Amino acid sequence: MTERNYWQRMRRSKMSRRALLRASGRAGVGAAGLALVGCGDDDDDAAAQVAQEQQDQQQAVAQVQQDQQQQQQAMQQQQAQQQQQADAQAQQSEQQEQQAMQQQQQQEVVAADSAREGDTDWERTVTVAVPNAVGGLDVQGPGNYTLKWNGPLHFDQLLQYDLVTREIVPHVGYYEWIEDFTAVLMHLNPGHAWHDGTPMTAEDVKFSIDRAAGNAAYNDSGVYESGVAYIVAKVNAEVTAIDELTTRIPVETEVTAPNSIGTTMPLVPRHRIEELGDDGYNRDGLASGPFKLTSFQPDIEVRSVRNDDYPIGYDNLNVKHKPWVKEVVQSVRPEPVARLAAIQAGEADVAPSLEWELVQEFVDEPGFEVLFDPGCCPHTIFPNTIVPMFEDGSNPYRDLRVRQAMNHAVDVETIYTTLGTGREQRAYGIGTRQLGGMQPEQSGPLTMEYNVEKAMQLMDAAGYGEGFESDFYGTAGFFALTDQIALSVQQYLDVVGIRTNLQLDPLPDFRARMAQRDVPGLHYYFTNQSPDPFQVIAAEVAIGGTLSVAEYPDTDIQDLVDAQATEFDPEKRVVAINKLAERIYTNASWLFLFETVATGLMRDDLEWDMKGNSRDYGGLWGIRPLVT
Amino acid sequence: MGAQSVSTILFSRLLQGILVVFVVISVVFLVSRLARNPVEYLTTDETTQEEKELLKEQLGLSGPIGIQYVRFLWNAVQLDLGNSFISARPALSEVSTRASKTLQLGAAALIFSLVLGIPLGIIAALRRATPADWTARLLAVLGQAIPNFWLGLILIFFFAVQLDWLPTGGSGGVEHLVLPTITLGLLASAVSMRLTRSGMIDVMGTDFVRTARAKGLRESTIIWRHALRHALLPVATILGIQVGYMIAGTVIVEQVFAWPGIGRLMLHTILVGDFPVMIAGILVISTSIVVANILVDLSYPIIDPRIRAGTR
Repeated sequence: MTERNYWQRMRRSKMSRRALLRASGRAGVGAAGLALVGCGDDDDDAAAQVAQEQQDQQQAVAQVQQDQQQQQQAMQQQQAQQQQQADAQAQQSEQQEQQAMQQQQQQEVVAADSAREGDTDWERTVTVAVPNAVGGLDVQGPGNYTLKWNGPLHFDQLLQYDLVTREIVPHVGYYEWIEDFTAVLMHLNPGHAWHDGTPMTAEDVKFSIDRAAGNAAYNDSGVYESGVAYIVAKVNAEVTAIDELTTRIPVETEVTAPNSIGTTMPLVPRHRIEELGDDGYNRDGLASGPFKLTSFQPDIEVRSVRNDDYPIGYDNLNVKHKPWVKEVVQSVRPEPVARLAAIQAGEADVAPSLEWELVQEFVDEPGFEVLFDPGCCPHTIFPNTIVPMFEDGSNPYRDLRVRQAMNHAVDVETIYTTLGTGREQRAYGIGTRQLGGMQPEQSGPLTMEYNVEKAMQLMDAAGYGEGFESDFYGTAGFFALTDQIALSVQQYLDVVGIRTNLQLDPLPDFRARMAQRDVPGLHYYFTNQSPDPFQVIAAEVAIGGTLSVAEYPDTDIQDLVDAQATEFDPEKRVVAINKLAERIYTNASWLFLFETVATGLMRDDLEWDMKGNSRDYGGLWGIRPLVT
Repeated sequence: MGAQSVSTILFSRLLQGILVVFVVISVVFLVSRLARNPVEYLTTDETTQEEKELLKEQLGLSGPIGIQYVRFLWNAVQLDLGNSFISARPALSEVSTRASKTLQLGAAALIFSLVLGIPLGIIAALRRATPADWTARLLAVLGQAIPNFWLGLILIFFFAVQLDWLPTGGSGGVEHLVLPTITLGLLASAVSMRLTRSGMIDVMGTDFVRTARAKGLRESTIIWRHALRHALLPVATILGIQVGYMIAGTVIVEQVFAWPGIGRLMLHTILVGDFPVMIAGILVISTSIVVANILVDLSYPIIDPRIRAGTR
């Protein structure tokens, strides 16, 4: 996992070379001025002479003063010139430095690429063992957007997050705010085409947004059953195609608008959908992404070939780019042990998402590489503070001391070192440390360490010395080990008097209950992993969020939520998000567990560098087959 | 057996079968509507409640459950079970493409169980209390005791990973069918073997077998032509039930071997709440079991002439 991250980098104070040169220029001019002040001469003979001399002196002084003024003016001019020169020099120097850095980076990439160019097997078919491949091909349809075997491989978004810097960067297009942050212009790069060769235009962008919102003037009913309406929810007026490549999108003034529309909304082809209709397109999809779909046998196999016309090549490896793999076959193996067996038997080359207990014996096994990646999401337990828990209207979780006690009661480190890979890290907030969570320097002194005695004192102080009973809901089978982790947490909480009744359900059932927001008790869920944590904040922190059950209207948390939502300045946004993360933690809003680590298995004749990001089914374009 | 009696049996069984299928899909419809909300699967954390309600309406899941049920029945009579919530394809078509795969696997497993179970049962009965009998009985106990998911994984590791003789899973040629067939058919073969053995032991001690021997008939003729027909009656009875067990077993076996049949489809649809496909699947499964049992009923008179006489 890379140590560089957007938030840290943006928070760093910008004492540039330009600023230093400017300061030193000013200091030099000031020193020169000081050296000139106070230079002169005097004499005292006869009175007349004195008077004359005084007059002369006065004249001389006046002359000197005039000279000094002229000197000062000259100096000021000189100072201004020097400052301008210093500024220009600093600017030039900074530009040169940036250019040099960019050149160096490019040279490194090119050098690395050319060094490996000969090692790449350009004709290789790579087989990936996947747990399932069901659903439709219409990426905007209900339930289809999250299908990793389809969307990320075959479809495009306008923008991407840079894998290293986490910044939004241009991809098949770029954006700009206009009209005082009330609209966004999305520009398509010329030359990008659908897999059938039809050029992608602004009309396609407009059509994609309209269809995602459920508006479907192209079909008989005028309504489309969209599964991605939430992505375009910030669009508040009609989208217009200004020219062949430019689309104007009026949006609510929120920093999240370009994020969701640009980086998450999949582009769909207008001509194909108008031709086939929604159901037809769902059966016979067409996309524009790095892989072209060649065959789809539901729940059996998905075959895709490299899109050789993909506009993003190998000169930028920090975003989705043209694949090295000639053909990728996603072969369905629902059972994890069967996926492992498929790799061992040579039927598959890669199997992401295999439990640690299955792959740990392959760590030193020749011919294989165990994949260790940041897991999906920091695990967190949300206490419902919205509704009363007991008949008298009380809810112990509304008391900060109870929530702190809960956090002190659980030995998080022991849980993850015992049950996990040992590479997990504590969770501190609304995302991972890389993505919006608290930074180590923030979390250090604030960490609520395992301390049963302190937890019991806090329970006592809150008036719950005798403890209380609470329901505890979790998911079964969605994440590896959640059942065991939930059982461990249950036992730790029991020691300090929080006696829970644990119930584990399939994720959809669990989420439905949590979304009702009126079920008291603890809800074991997770925060999202998004390059900008705005989605987590909107869904799980904001009052009224779709999954917000731990609400604290008496604190300043909602103000901090609102503040970050309209903070456009990247540096100030980082500060706002970190402040919110810290506040959520110091408020003990949730029971913070840990950031998970995902494991998988791959044959060692492949290289798969996702710059420290998770190597899952969506990133198969990043696999480089090596010549053996 | 007269034509009248066969048609009467057939008609009566068909009526019962239709009633059974109707009750089954009605129960499934009502329980699934009460137990699961597919909208939660089809949406994400960020989907608002209003959007969920809209989707629910579009999927036909809003309104009183009684009205939904009547609408469902009316469409079902016309064999329209709606479209899959996930793939938007007609539910029956989704199921029928998978059903052929399950039928293939089920038929192979059934044949395997009979081919293995009946001869073993005969040998065990004829060589009673010998090492052959003990071995056959041991195999039967193992076949019934070993969970099929465990057996499947062991077979994969031995025959696919270690020996590299067969594929680990998937579908395609006959080689893909071997391991799932053994896994699914082993339990059924154990049951067939035990029933054949006990049936043969009973029959071989009866008067008509003694008479046949006294008449000088060859032992093989006595066994295959006279005794076995009587001994197979309980095996035929259990076959109807075995079909049900096998279909239930395909859920696990298809999951382990990535066999794209109806069992795996059902598992997935139940998890995500894809009601139309789930009900179409249940309809096909329950109909298959009913048909299998009717065929078993109709086979009795062929196997045992005494039943033929009784039906007149």
